[in-house]
Amino acid sequence: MEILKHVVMDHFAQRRNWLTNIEVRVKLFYIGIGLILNILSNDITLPLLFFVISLILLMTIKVSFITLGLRMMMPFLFGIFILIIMGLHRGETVIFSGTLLGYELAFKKEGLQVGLLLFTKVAGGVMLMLLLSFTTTITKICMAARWMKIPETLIEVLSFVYRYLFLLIEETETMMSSQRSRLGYVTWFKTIKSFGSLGGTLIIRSIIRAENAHIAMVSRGYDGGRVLTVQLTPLAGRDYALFLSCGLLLTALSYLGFFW
Amino acid sequence: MFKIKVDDLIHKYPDGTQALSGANIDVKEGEFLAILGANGSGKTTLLKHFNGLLKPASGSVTLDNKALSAFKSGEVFRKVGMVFQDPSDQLIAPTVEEDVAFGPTNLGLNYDETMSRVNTALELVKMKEFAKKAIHALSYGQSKRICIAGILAMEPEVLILDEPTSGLDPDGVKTVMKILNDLNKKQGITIILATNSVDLVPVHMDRVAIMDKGVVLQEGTPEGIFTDSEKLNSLKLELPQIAQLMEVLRDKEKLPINPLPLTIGQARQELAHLFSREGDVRHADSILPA
Repeated sequence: MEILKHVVMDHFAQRRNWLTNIEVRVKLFYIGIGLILNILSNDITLPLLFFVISLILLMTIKVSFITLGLRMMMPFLFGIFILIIMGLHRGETVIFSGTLLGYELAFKKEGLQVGLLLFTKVAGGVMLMLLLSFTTTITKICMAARWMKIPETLIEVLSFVYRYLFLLIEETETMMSSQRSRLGYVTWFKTIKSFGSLGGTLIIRSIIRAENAHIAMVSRGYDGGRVLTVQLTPLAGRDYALFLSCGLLLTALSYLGFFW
Repeated sequence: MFKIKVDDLIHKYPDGTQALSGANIDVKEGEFLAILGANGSGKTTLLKHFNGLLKPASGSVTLDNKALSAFKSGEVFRKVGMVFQDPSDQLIAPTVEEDVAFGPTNLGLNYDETMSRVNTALELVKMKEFAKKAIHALSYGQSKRICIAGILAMEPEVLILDEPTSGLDPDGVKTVMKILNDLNKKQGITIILATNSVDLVPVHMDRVAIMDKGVVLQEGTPEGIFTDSEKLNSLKLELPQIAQLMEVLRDKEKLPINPLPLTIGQARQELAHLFSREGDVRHADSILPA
């Protein structure tokens, strides 16, 4: 649970630094286009460039490697899994083979190349999203989403997910502590049983919590309208300059990635 | 004039629990009313009828001499605001500012007026510097204050609170009660507060109603209600702690204490009177048994 809490903590986005001060729409423009280019790339150069640039930008606002590592852990593990699977099952040219537990395993060059491309795309894409999450609060993202005319219902759901994610973690932690203190995790069988009852209880509690939240919202006049109120400030000259700079940067990166 | 009038309210939950069995209560405009009762006495159910969240099986609730059912949709919530017991149930936005703005936005106010109300409400609960803070980063006491601010931003005429001090440390209790006291005495907001914490009642409230088994058994001033400790015990309630001490001194040590002080201030005055400065020791000797 500690790792999970560390992963979802958002205190970096609440800090004041040069990256958090950048207008959210500029950041969404850069990161949105960056993600598209990352996915379309057919070479590892562009994803790696996105990875490195995002990493450098995050280091300027003193985000620790441990924090980054914890947040990247799951996607990286997934990327490594894809790399291995691709290497084993795709291609013809065997570059390495061996036996494991009686099974013949052969890594092929073409498969590893595809796997590596996918791995770097995962790394580049995740690092771009981390750049957004470390420097932008959810409220600003929702405000920008409204400016982009994304349906209000989706924005509502996004804000609720953010709000109740932390509550869910807290409730889970409380129940797990309670189970642990009553020897709920001393054996594998008991662990599975405890997880089962934890999951079921969380579902019931979520339904009750949702009902209570709805009652509270109705008693404050809610009838399906918008949940969030705060507005974005109008774009200033500095923001337009940043838009232009991001556009030029993305063009340069595309040239390097696609045509170099 | 009665702000809220409840006549013979009966309410049964779908699982068959009879929560209210003919509750009657009248709430005067501008008063600070405490509804005292043990757990399961029907306090929360009664409170939820005051703003129409629950509909009774029979009986009536009127607000400003008008039946709740006669109000237009949302009008009751504009006049009667409710703060629930668990802050997690009613803090629904990502940040403090957004959550407090939720109510005024639903009232159809424009952005400037909404933010003005948000600032005023946060000022009233002494949480203005927390405006941009994430909800999940608030402490329990801070969450409770933001819940109150969220309702205050709607500028209600009546404020209902369900056990607002439960789970708070002594300093938190003091802060919340001071806020409520100021709202009642300075802003004239009618406050109805459900609690089983008897110590708060004589300090802050004008009137007390005692509930048991879905019925309001007794109503009156704290001085009138807290006279019969045996009756209170039978309702799973107690006298305020200081009153319990004074009762023991009266009954066991035969000190001439009448009426029974209900607050520390009253007890201090009573004891100071008993052990007055002139002829301190002789006077004390004549009162206390050998």
